[in-house]
Amino acid sequence: MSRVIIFMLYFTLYTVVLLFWGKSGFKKTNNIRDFCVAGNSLGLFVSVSTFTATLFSAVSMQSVTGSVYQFGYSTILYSVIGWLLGASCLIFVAYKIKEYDIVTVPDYFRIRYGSRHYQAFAGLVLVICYILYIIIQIKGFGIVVSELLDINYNIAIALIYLFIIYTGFGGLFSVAKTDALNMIMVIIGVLLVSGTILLELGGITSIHEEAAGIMDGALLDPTTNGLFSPVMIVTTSLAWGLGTASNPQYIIRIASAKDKKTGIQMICIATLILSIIYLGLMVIGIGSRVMEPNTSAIQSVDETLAFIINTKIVSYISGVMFISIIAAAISTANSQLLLLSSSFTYDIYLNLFHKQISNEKFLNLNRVIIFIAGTISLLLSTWPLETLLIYGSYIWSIVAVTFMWPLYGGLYWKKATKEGAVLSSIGGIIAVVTFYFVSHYGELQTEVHPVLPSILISLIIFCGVSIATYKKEGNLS
Amino acid sequence: MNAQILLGLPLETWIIIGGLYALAAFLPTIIALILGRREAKK
Repeated sequence: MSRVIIFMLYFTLYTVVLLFWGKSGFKKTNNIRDFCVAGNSLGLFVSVSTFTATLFSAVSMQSVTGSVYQFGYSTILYSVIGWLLGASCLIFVAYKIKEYDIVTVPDYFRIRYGSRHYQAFAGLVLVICYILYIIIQIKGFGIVVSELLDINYNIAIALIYLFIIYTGFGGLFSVAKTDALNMIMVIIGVLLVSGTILLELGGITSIHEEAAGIMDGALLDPTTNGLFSPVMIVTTSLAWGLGTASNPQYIIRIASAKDKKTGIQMICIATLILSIIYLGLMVIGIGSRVMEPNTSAIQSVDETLAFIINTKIVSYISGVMFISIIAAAISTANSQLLLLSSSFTYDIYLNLFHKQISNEKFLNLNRVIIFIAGTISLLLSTWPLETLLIYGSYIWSIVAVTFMWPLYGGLYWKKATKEGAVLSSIGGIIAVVTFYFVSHYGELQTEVHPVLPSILISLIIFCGVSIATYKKEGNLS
Repeated sequence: MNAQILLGLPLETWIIIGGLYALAAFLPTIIALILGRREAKK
């Protein structure tokens, strides 16, 4: 049987199961709280599944594996370790955020800082960032599906569009349920393929010994023999870490867990599961390079995995891996689409213009926004990008400078004020955009990621303005 | 066996990447345990 037919069969089976699996979420969703935070009712298994599947995106699956293949283990330093350390910070959020009865993360800003305009501003930042980030998932999916099903790229990206819109329509119940399926698919796919590679190449020692002979041992060096500077590695990792630590797509999963204990356990267990999955990806990346040391056939890092699946891995197993890649892209994209629609409807529309609305109207409005935002991301995904791993780090930088200090400062520092929070978010965004353009198109040539100076600037603004305005409030009272 | 190599990987890589990786994987659990104990004491 040809590979394309095998992939098609796996794809059809996955589609049927996903449609059936996600359907029950529609029935459970009756009001705003159900749609946005699954009625704050998710148990440990579903919480762990949805956290794991959301964090594990097309960037993880394709860019990390492709980058390990091309540049070796240094990739782990500026991506995976940043994500896992960022997840550690979320434990601090999990200990406090349940004290606030929130529907969205910008809703926390309204409650903590007493500003509806700040809530709307944070909601707007989320809408823009997630539209831009969903492009990654659509592109990742498109690259793999067009390559492996041998169809046009534009037709391939239209398929993920239908998947994410379908699951997004059912709210967080639907997204979380399909995430459980997607997490299982990812674990099975990665472990099966990495296990096969280990067996085929005679174990990890043998793989490393072979890899040591490629690129003068650079694949096994922490800086790829100096190709990446320590400054670039540390600051890019920082961008991912801070973006993860302050990202509403993870914080909302703490809010949707049934209690504080479940939220904390969710992060701990999900991080351990993710660390095992990433170990599998490292084996796939480095093992694939040993199998195919010649990189000339691969046009970009993000196409590496599709190439390897199509040429080096046994058909039936590669079909499972193919579904894992699709699952990784869908599980992150639908979550972000859901978050941006709830930010638009709840944090901007309801908050500023239309305070009273029926549950039915709210749900329908969300579905319209999901459709519009998904369409915008789909259209934007036809544009060429830098590698998904680097592009994603810039988007996460904006999320980090907007949310980091107002979120953690608001939870743990009683002197944090509305003025400090608002100005730190605005100042941080201006700093990221300025440093990005100056370092990319201006005279400043530096390997420092824009997140480092920007997060420091937003911290200084946050602390300085908060101290100044807190004293003022004290004097007035 | 070369003293600088473990499972075919240089010791430097084990320490820098492996060490940070293991720390990052277990850090949430460690932080949760510390915060949990502090909360229980209060």
